[in-house]
Amino acid sequence: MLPTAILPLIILLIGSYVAYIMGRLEYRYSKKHLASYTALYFFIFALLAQIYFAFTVWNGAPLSYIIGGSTLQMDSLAVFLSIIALILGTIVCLYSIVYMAHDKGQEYYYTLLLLMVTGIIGIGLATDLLVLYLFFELMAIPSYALVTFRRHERMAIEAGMKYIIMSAVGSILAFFGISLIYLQTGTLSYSSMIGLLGNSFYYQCALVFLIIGFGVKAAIVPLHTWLPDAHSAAPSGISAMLSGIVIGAGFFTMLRTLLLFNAHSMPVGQILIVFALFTMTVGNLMAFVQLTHAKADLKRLLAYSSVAQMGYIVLGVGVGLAYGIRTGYEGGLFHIMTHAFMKGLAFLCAGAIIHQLGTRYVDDIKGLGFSMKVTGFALTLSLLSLAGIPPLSGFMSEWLVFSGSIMTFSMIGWWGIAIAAIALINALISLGYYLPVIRILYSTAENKKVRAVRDPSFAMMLAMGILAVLVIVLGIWPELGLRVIKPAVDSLMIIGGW
Amino acid sequence: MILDNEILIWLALLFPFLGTGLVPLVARAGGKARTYFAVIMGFLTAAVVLLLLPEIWFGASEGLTIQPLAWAPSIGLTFSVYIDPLAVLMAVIAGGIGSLVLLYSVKYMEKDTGLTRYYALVLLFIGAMIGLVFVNNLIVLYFFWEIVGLCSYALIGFYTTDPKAARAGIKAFVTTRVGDIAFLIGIFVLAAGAMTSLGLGFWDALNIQTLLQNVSSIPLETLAIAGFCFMGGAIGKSAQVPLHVWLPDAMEAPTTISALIHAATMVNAGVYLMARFLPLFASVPYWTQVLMWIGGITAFLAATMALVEPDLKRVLAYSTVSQLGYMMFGLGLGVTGFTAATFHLMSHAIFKALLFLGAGAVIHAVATRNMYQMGGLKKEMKITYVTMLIGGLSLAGLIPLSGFWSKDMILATAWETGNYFPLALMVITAILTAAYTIRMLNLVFWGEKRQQTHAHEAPWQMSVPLIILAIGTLVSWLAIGYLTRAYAHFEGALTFVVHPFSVVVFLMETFTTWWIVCLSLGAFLLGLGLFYLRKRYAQNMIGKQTILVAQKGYWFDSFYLAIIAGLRAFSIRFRKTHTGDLNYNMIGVIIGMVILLVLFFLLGGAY
Repeated sequence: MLPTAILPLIILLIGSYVAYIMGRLEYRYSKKHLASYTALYFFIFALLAQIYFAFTVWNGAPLSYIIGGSTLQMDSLAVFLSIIALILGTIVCLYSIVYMAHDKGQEYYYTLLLLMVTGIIGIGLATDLLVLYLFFELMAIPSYALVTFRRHERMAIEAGMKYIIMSAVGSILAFFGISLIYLQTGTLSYSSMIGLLGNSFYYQCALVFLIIGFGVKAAIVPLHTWLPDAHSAAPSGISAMLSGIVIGAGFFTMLRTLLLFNAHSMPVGQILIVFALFTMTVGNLMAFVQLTHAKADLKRLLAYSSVAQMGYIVLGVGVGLAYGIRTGYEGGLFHIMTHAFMKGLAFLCAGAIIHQLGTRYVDDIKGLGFSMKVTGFALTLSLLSLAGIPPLSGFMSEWLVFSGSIMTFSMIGWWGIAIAAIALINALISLGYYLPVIRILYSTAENKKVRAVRDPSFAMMLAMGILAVLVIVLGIWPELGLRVIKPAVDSLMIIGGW
Repeated sequence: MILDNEILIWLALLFPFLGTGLVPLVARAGGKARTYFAVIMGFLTAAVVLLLLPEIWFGASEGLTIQPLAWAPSIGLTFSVYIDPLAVLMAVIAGGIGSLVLLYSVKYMEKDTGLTRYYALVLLFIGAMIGLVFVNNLIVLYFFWEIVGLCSYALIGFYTTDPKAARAGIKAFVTTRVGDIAFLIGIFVLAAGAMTSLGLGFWDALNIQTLLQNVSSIPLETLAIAGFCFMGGAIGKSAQVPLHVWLPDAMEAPTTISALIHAATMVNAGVYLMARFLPLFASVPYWTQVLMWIGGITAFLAATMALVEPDLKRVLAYSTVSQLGYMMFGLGLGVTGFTAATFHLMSHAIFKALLFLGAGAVIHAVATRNMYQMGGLKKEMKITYVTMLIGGLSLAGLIPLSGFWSKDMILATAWETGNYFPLALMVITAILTAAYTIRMLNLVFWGEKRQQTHAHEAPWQMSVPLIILAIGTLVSWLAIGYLTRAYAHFEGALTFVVHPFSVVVFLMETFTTWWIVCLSLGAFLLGLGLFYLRKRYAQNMIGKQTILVAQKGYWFDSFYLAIIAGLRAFSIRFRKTHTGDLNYNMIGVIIGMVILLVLFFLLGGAY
């Protein structure tokens, strides 16, 4: 059979090899940008292939490919994840052409980037637990190396160290959970188990290990402590990828495994809701604190903001899992999409600031919005979108999460209102760290350097521009994104038996 | 009409939004082109909305509903548009005053930079305001409600060189957001209630007309929660106590913005919300009483604060808060107050915009906002003086200006519904209103000149809107006949009865309750008297204390700052839990497992 299901995967895999070779050739013949352009072409190719096949899947026919004993299946959830990953990957690759131009190790960077996205796509395609774990690691390992890419930076090494250790622990715990499931069911394939794992001591333990294990990667509080360091120390393109899609993919992995459990007899969704509330609150408070520091780091602020936004995602999906509230699923998945774009944009802008001005501190960017007009405007857009302000995309996705959470009113009464109130108050607190950054961007520049700096070069601006357009368009015409999500939500509802 | 109504509605939304999008492009052709383009788009919007007026107010049609628009069919989000007299009233105010403000801005904002952003945001604001009142779906209403808030924030902080302005913008945004949280919870609760009791899908349950028609089927508990939550949203947006603190600070905005957003339109959105949903919540016990008291107390407190304020724009800001309190008070009298409150909304929008634009002309001429540095301007700025005098007397409630008629109607309705004590409070507020208005006029225009420089009269782009608005405040009360007839015609939609009457009948009815007229005019005279006796009052011990309290704003601001400081302090201490030490991080993982096990135990499914 034709490997259409895994075509994007294969394209990126081949691309990673080719990019490495081109990278070495770059060294040999002292050329520039060979690896980066190669990677970009492969990304675009994979994206186009994915979109093309997406239509087949959306019309109701998932594509499969059998390798050995396992099937790789492109269903609507897989399409959802890989489209976001590929769009973000392409844009980050485009951005990195300029941003990483002066770094040594070009051949590693693009190879690792391609492999990371391959892993993410593979997570979507997996139909059994081992392959899922395999692709999860395929995503994780390049990300470790990418966080520590600039080896001479002490912060990066420290961050990478924390990230690897915590992530490895998480992976082991998750793997243990998988093995417990295997112990009880004797199989690893989803289709035989989905929605069936019910009340038994082993399954409960498995649930604990899976949530904690994958939760480390999904940056759920209190497992999130690696994130602020890793996301702020990584090169900005990688920060965008990490915050944008890697933690989303971590949660996606968790979701795939959680779907195996019977949500009616196990409090899977409810647990997610509780964790989500912790995550939101801690993320927002910590981000709020960042601005009280003497040297407030913009990337660290955005990293904590990612933790808070993950809270919204987990809340939306948790509500859907627990009570079958469709709007919750829609909100959670749509927020994965919009967060990828808006947080990606925010980090790319922060990177542009670091690239042009050489500083990452909020105090140093006073008045930057007037010199770096495009970057300033794009950063403003992303921050307003993150705060959930219409007509930007963050509004609709956050709104869907809130409405999903309050629809639990009919099932759990006042608790539903309390959940929604906590989420909304968190949205209010988040204004407290988004708006001051905008204010600082557009105040009067005191620093001569700030006045003299200009917007970065075309490739970086194009990357930011595409994301900015997506952020605006998804806000005014959310249908564009919701069209991708609808089939995925349909399948989630069916699995849950709602 | 010339154009089909459906087209008019779409154009009313299209012109401003198209304008917003195109202003940056047109700006490439130069500043003048951009300014003219913006003004033209504003006037086109006003024209389109005015064309809707005859059909809805004078015509015989039922509420206009047009084809539902499928905004996001994948989740089932479709919404329709529903136009009734109230919606058209608000839209005409937004479009009309918007266009006058745009014309005024041509000269007023001439010397400022960043005008592309300014005009784009003003047009976005006008479009969002019209969208807010036209749509028939609560979530789309909220969508426009937030956009209006966004424009307000961005325009308050327009002068980027002024740190006060930026902070004021953030303050406005955050304060209104508090109200918006309540509003959002209210929307969801209402939708949830409607879903279960009416068996509707989620998005259908957000349809405003559906909710209004089926009020009796929705459980009272749901209505109660939703009603008070909606009130929270209105309190935030319309700057009522206790969320009034943002409006005086919002005066850092260019005066044109203060006129448009913070006097004539955005702050009226809260009143619109209350008016629109009055039929839904009037049956909730205590809802109307709470609204009435909030309105009354706000009106009174804001009037006291206006009396001691030295900044011209802040006086007008407090005055706006106070008059909005009158409108909320009117609505809080029950469905009978609907006409009076919306009538006052209309007349207030006109004279307050007039006062703000006039203040703008004054500030433009003397380069200060402190009234104690002005004086004697009546000779040098004749047109501004006359128009502001008319506006001020209308605010103070002098017959036969529109402010008198609308305020009197509210007082009369209070009498008729038997709310005598609140009525007394409003009369006292009317006295204070007259007092602070005369104080303002005195400090700015009468007496000796305290300024050395010569103040020039405003150019025509600024004077013409002033004159138009002054004429408006002289005659707008005549529209009462049309307004009530329009409401009466829509009684099916409003679900309560409004008696239509002509202007003559209105005059007769007003003077039938002649004691209210006496109270109104008496309040005006007493206000004058209070003003003339001010020196004696200020020397008095009690006088000094009350002035101090009013100047401190009754410590609302201090209270809120304390809350924020508390949150900050808590966060800084909380931050210590994030040690950055990998060992502690791993303990975090263990803690996570423990929490999970506890949750398992609590939520069931435990072994």
